[in-house]
Amino acid sequence: MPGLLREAATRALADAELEWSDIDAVVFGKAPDLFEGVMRPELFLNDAMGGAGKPMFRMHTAGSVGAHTAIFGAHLIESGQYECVLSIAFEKQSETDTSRILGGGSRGGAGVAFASSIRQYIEKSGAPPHIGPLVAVKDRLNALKNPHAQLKIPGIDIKMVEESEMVVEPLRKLECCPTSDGAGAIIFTSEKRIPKTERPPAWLHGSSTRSEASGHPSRSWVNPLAGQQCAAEAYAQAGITNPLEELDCAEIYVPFSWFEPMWLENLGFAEEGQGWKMVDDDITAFDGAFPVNASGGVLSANAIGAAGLIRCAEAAMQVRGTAGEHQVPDVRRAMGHAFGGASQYFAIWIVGSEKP
Amino acid sequence: MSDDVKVLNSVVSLDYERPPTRAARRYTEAVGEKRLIAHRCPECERLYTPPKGYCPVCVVLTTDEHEIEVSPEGVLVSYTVTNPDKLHQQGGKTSARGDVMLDGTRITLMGELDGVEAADVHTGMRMRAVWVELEDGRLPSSGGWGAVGIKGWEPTGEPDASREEVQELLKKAGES
Amino acid sequence: MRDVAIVAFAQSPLVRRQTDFDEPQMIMPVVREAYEQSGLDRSQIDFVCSGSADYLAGQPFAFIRGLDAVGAWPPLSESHVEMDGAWALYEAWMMLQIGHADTALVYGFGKASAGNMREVLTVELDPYYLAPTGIDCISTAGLQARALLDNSDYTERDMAEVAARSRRSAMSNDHAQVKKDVTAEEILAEPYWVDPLRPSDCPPITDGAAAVVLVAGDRARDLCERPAWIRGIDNRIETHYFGTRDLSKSPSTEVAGKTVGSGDGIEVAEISSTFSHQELILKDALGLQDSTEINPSGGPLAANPLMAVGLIRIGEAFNQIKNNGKQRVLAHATSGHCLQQNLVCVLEGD
Repeated sequence: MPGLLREAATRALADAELEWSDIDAVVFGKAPDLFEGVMRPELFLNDAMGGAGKPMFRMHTAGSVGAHTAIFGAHLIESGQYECVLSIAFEKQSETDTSRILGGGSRGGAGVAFASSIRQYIEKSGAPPHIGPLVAVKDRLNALKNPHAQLKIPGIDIKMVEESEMVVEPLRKLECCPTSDGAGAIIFTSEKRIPKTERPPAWLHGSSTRSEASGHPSRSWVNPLAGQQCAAEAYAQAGITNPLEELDCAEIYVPFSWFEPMWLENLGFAEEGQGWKMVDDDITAFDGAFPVNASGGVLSANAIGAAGLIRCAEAAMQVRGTAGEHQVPDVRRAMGHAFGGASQYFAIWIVGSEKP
Repeated sequence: MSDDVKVLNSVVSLDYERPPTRAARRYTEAVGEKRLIAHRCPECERLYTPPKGYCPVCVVLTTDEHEIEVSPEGVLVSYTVTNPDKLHQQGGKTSARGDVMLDGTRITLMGELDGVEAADVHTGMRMRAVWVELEDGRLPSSGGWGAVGIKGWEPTGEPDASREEVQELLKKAGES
Repeated sequence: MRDVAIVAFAQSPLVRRQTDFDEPQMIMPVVREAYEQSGLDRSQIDFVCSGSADYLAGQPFAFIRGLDAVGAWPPLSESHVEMDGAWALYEAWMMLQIGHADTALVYGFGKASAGNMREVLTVELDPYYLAPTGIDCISTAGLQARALLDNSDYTERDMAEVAARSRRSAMSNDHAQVKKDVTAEEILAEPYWVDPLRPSDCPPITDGAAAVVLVAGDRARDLCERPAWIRGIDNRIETHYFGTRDLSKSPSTEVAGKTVGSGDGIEVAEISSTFSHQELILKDALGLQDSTEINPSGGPLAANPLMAVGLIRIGEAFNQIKNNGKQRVLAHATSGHCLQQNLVCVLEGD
């Protein structure tokens, strides 16, 4: 665990050409402590994160926590109280059997609950069955361009996905995210402390978090109100009225293939019931008009607590032009997104290459 | 250093005891009599089963006086079939799980589908509760996300709800 | 820095075992009371932040049900820290600082009764090098108390005085769990529990919840006759490993205290001295004068609802300004074994 975090933080510092001593505060995030079997592990991991003597915060907002961790780090800078902040998140799922922890025993983990809402989406939208496999193929092709992706399947095609085992109907194995170990780290600075490197910074244009009660009897898992409102607030802050036109790409939390069309609608990139058509028309493909998850996304690596922060970081890399082989051309503005719980926690940020 | 050491096993075992709330105790007694009880919120009249002892919408506590009986039958509005090998279900079997919307309510309860082959499951089926057997007057540990007190759902054999009726039910569920 | 004030504080009964209510039921009346005190209703709250720990409940995502208790419908701008509610208050304060919110609700809760805290809190230690030794939270506190006694002029009598005074102060606190007219002599007559700690040097196990409402700017004066303005708030962590710390001191508290001006004219301090000896360490680290009244509520030795206890210190400090006419008070919260992480907050009246 300490090594994972140290590696991510060290790489972020190298990218920013900064030293440990430059960091004023540390924001740490991960999903449930039961995943590693350590209560509030930041207390012992603090040394690996260079936190001693500094302010330290531990976020936990279910699967959206990584994006929360990024957003709170940015808030610390925005307040003017800090000049340089490290936001860092991880998950080491191999430490325990996370499916058992999520499922509370022997009944099948998160996939079961989410598969049910996917079935509802298919019923309501009338989407054809090949949409899920199409998303899986697209993200797995993208993963081949990302050196950090965990699952790389050369020669991936729709036949391979459709012939993979059924895990939780209607999801086949290749439509599901893996369990992962991983960490991500982002460094924020105030404007006056932007490091002079060859790599330009990404500017934060907008951010929002929204949560809704799990116990509300009539909430929707398919198009959650919290997700809609979260996007609306982030767009308003960024001055965006037509997200599909004004954003150039997005990194969206898609742990199961069908969440891409669902979230395209939830985030306002498509009208309700129409998101699957964007997938069908290859609009979200790497060379499409609006690439989604150029990194390969959560389907290619899902270190849960880190995954949201990595979505935010991937969006930042796209606007900085540092995404390497999976760089989308000419990205000016991009979205990073995460969700968690029973599709009830949402966190979004929008970053741009220009100062807002 | 030996290359043989790959994993250090460290088993953390902690015992927790969470006493049932009053609402949960009364719900359990009702399940023992094969009755399903709910709490009706005094402000918004929404129904909750199992009763929470509060309404999360209005943020008010609910008590015995808000208790009513609801139908243990409803319509299957969604389902999924799980493959045991992929989900750490030690010794498990292929099983279908579904959401049943209880008659006369907007409540959906998730549970395992019984008495029907996985391949034959379809939305719109009329279902009724399969009750758990109490063990010494207590609910067995639920061990998952299923509706506590109800083991699952089995077909009643009545004619299916039509696709339009199911869509109407889903729409109703989506309205806040 | 934007002026932000506390305008309301509520806490649940603090008890050994809350059997009637689960967590949402325990939180809900507290949140309602805080709203009523503030005169704000749910729709007027811009941001909500909570503090809790999954390991207290023994289940993942235990905080999610807290959303039920605050009425997260329609959806809320919201966050959660796996820490004491005092850190949730910091996050909320930050949201108000940057102007993303003008009002905030903060709550913290824990039902420590569900598990065996001596076992559970061991899992908070380094899983490779410390937790396998099986050392529990009373023993780590014992190490710290011994380090203090052997490296300072403090004596076991000083610890007993703290323990006795805390339980006597608690007699005037309706919410306190352990209240007793007890003297230092009586405590010194107790046998050791974990040398040099006697049972009365240690906190009770407590279930409870607390909530605070924050408001930015002049509006605070409209909502509360005497709001408590947050003049400074800071938190610092230090290394985890006991072997590389001087346990008899709390340098992280000292740094956080200096940042917020802890030594200066503090009339009352509500501090998270979970064990009696920690009050002595914290008093020195914060530079508190003898004239400063410490823990008039009884502090954690009178009621210790983990994940709410630090937020309650802030709430009790607010009450000193609101109800007792104090002008400048301090609150402190802690995290981890042996005061590993500390938050200090200075509040002032108008």
